[in-house]
Amino acid sequence: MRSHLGDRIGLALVGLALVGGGVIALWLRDRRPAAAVLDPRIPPFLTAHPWIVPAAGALCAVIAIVATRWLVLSTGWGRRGVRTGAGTAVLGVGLGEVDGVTGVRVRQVGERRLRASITCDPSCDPGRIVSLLDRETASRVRCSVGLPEAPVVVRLHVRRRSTARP
Amino acid sequence: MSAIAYVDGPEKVADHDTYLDDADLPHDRTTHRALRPGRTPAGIIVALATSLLAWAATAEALAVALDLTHELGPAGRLADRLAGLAARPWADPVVTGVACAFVVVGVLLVALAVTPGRPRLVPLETADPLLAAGLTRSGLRRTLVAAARTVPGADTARVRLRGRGRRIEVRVRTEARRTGGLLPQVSGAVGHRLAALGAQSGHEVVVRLRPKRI
Repeated sequence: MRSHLGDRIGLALVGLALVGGGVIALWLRDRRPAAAVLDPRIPPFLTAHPWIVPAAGALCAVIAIVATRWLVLSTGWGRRGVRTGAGTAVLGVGLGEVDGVTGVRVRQVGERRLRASITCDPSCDPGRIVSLLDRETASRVRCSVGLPEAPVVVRLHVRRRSTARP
Repeated sequence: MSAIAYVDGPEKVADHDTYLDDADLPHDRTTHRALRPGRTPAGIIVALATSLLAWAATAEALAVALDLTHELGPAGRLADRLAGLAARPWADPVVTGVACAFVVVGVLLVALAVTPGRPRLVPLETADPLLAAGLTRSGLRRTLVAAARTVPGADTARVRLRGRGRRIEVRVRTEARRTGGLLPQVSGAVGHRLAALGAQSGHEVVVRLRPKRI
């Protein structure tokens, strides 16, 4: 069970590419300080080999598509999941014996994992909630949505003020 | 984890029992991994910049291949500026500055990618290997305040998480004149709440008790 790794992989690849480009530029500065960045031999070479520019364009298009897909996924597409009423109901019933639980919500993220969010009052004992989840409630929630092997990530939050009225 | 209790004024320091000593269970690492920040904001920025540059480069390559460079508009102006940079020698200060900026930004991005980062949730101990639970930092503060205030005589309580959550500081103010018994009670209440939670954040709890000024 891991957090999303896609952003880290993308950041590492872009970072390595930048470091590589920068180091090569600094090395060329020391080796050939007077030479132009764009070598004068390159334009005739490209003219002599007309397939290079379309190939470079295709490579850029592939990079652009991959980067756009990364952008779409980073903004939350497919990560937030959809609410599951059955899971929420089972979680609510499972935590029903704990006083002070004010809100529960379960989201199913594809077939990969479940995300549960639980809110409780300050007077509530969150340790009891975790104990119940650990014992049987989490597995019941998994079974209720038909994913008995799915990891469950639970976010527990304690409200500022109690909702209980005197 | 050792809990230390302090009293303002004539200071009392009491070593308390160990609350969290299972931090090296294998499943704890799984929970930490699941709650680790995914670097989403930086990912969005870099993905946006990379996709814009890559689409611009694609348009430029297509225009060059079709001999349409004069119809590129903004992408053509960008290409003209890049061509101006490419005409400079390698020893040009601008080229050196751009290269140094590449190295610095690249190292920062790699560091962002490989460092674990601080989880937004305090990991909680669970036995189920498919369950990762975390409590918000504000939630941890509030539940510890509530635990401290269950002790008779503890009128107000404040909790601060210091040092990336490794130190939990509880400040209790009391109107009681005799505070000798209050300190271990508050320390015990906070410790019991932490033990029940199985919070893997802290290694040390400090309770400071401030009695009423006479």
